[in-house]
Amino acid sequence: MKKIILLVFMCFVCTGCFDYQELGELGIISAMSIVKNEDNFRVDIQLINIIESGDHGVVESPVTVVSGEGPTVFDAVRSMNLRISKSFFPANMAYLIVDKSVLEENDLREVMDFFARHTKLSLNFLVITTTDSDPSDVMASLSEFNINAATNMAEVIRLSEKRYGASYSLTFLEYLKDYFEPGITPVYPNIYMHGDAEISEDIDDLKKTETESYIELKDLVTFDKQGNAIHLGVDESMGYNFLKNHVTNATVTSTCGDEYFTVETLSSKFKFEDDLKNNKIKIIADIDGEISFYGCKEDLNESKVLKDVTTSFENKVKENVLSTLNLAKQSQVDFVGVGNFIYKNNTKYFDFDKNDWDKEGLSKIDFDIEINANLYKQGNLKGDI
Amino acid sequence: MNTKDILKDLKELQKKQPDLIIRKIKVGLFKHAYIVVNQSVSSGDRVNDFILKYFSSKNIFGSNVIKNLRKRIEENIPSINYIPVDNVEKLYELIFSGFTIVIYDNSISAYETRGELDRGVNIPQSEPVIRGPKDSFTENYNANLGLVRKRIKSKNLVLKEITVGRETKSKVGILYMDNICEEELVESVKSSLEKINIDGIMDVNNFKSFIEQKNVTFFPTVLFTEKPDDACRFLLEGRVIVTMDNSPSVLIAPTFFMDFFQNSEDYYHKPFFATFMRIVRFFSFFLAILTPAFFVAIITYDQEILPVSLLINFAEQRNSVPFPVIIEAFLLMFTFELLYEGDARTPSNRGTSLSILGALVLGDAAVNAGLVSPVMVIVVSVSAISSLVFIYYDMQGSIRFWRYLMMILAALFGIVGFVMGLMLLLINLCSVKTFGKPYTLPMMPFIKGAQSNALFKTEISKMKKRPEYLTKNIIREE
Repeated sequence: MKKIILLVFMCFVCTGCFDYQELGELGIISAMSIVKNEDNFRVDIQLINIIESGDHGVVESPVTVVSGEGPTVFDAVRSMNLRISKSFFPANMAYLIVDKSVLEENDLREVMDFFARHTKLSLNFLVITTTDSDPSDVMASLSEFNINAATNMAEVIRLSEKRYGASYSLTFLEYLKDYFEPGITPVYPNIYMHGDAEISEDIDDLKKTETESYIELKDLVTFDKQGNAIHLGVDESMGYNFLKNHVTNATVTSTCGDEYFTVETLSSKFKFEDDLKNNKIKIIADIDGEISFYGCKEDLNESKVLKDVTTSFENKVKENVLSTLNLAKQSQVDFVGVGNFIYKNNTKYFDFDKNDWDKEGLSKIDFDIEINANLYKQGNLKGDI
Repeated sequence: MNTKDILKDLKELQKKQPDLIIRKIKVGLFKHAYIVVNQSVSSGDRVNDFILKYFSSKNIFGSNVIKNLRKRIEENIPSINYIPVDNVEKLYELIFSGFTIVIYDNSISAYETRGELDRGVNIPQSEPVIRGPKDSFTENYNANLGLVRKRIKSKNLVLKEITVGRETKSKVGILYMDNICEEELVESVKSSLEKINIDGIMDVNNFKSFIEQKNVTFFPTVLFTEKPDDACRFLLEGRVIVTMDNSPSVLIAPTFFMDFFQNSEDYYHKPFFATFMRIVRFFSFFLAILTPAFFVAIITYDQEILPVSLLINFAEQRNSVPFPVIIEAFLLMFTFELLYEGDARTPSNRGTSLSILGALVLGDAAVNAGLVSPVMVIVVSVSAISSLVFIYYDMQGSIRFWRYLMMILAALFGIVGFVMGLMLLLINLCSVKTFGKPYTLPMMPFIKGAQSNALFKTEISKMKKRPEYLTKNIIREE
């Protein structure tokens, strides 16, 4: 009997009837954006339209976008209940759009606080930004492949990271880590609205073979302390992903005279070694790859040719990595995390509390990059492309 | 005993019980013998052939009438028992047991002329099998003993008989293997049964409330089987079986939790298939108890566990249902219970209409009417079908209880309640003792030597030892 009483007591302590919620009462949030307008936060949420999304074929919009404003994020979200009879359920949120207007330190901390304290969030949703479009337009845009446009975009980001290497799926948990740890600045995937925003919201546009307006993944972007966007091109994005060991299968195209060859990486491992007495960081990489396209004139069966091709590939990767590091130095934003590496391995080298690493530390560091590639000859293209 | 008074009482009784026959037969010139028989429970042919025929002979007279009758029966017809009657209570018991009472002078003797009132050996109704013996116990006590004896032709098979029931005087037999079974177990079963002081016991199933009274659990701690091959297998493992007059099944003691996941057919199939089926049954046990509760918990408290596509799917289905999930679940469960009970009591030739109606009510119509969601139909069906995997009705009953308890806990406390319910289930299972031994043997405590026939099943040729938690004589194959 004591055991039963203990179990019932624990049940009451751990949860209670007050947590009971029917599915019909939930407004399932698929995406959210937060913008700061003067003193107020404006929050847009994309709700999945349960009634309509079950119909076969697209009849009406599968999502509804609701906006709310308030002095706090919580207040802004609750204000939406003036028109929506649902309690908002963010556990399945695909992404959060953080506008550059909320990057001011206190605002961003409030946003992070709002999500980090939510017990029902897995914190694995993506954090993205849009530098060229209005977040509310992105939220209202529909997708041709998935009734849930937000899920579709999150999948786009994940897939392009995995298969192309030029994007990065920044989860909220990593975002928290990058934000609070010294010597590193978060890098956001950047999306934008292609075409007219109003057409993108129109369900009839989806019925066309070629949609006129859609949202697309653009590049990676980071922000300096003044809120200026620093865009990473394809090469820098790839270099960034190589440095952060995010790459699974990246495609790297390099030249052999006037012709090209493409390598699909199979595995890559980058590691940092410090030589801070000489203000130097050594970057050593081991990459395995397969030549997936070979358009050069030389015979690949000759070992010298394969060696030359390998060297060319190594140089190309080195070039990408260097351009990423140079961008960080030039923009004085350490988005690669070199400072974080030093902070964790040699704390005496730089006082991160008193000095600004981005301005005073990063520029003094030289990089010595060593890429060791192991390429396989051209094989068959297996499975999907 | 005064035979005159007894005859007077019998004649009084005859007025209330017309099937009681009292015949007055002239013996010699001056004397009379009285033949008393209850024709409902007696065989008329036996009475005529062995008793009345004797008295119709003109040669009988004098003081040796009864002695000669007894001698004749003992010498020529050994199948008929002779019992001298020395008290009134015994007299009535024998009359209603089908004996013919002969009252002559001051002596009363009884001759067994019992009629065959049972249905004969038939196929097992509640434990149907495809492979293996298809005979089953009947309501005939001797036939049941015979079904066991014909399988175990050993002098070590011991029978202890007791009578239970003040009014019913039911004969109860305790069978065990003298060389295998532990003496304490036999004594424990015997003393439990001897303590019973009730007017009547109708079936061996009634014993469970006297045997398992110490345990606070809904799990069955005794097993009943109507298959003689199962009973003999248990006997050879060192267990005790209890059979009873008028009961078509026997009680097995002790019984452990894992016994309910075994089936007699397991022993007639390849070990791989038997093991696979036992694992299926093991999972079905948890599926039957946990599926509706888990669904209720995640739908009402912990929706974040669900992938978004599944959540949307469930939300769409639940959109048209006006009841809370727990009410919907109980509604469907209750409908299933109605159908289950209805189907169990309906003659097979009328069962088709019930099946069609049940399929329509539980399936399409209920969903179309917006009373339940399709996913709830699937959840309840999975749970219900899983519980039907168990052929033992007692286990089905305990599964039902735990299923509803888990549903209530899940509806009140979500996943936390669900986990607590699961803990409660395990605590309850582990706290049960059957004849002083843990109910969860041989899994908890884990007995390595007994694993060849617990959840897994090895070749019978490799099962060279008996379960060590049942007997000290563990060598099966020498």
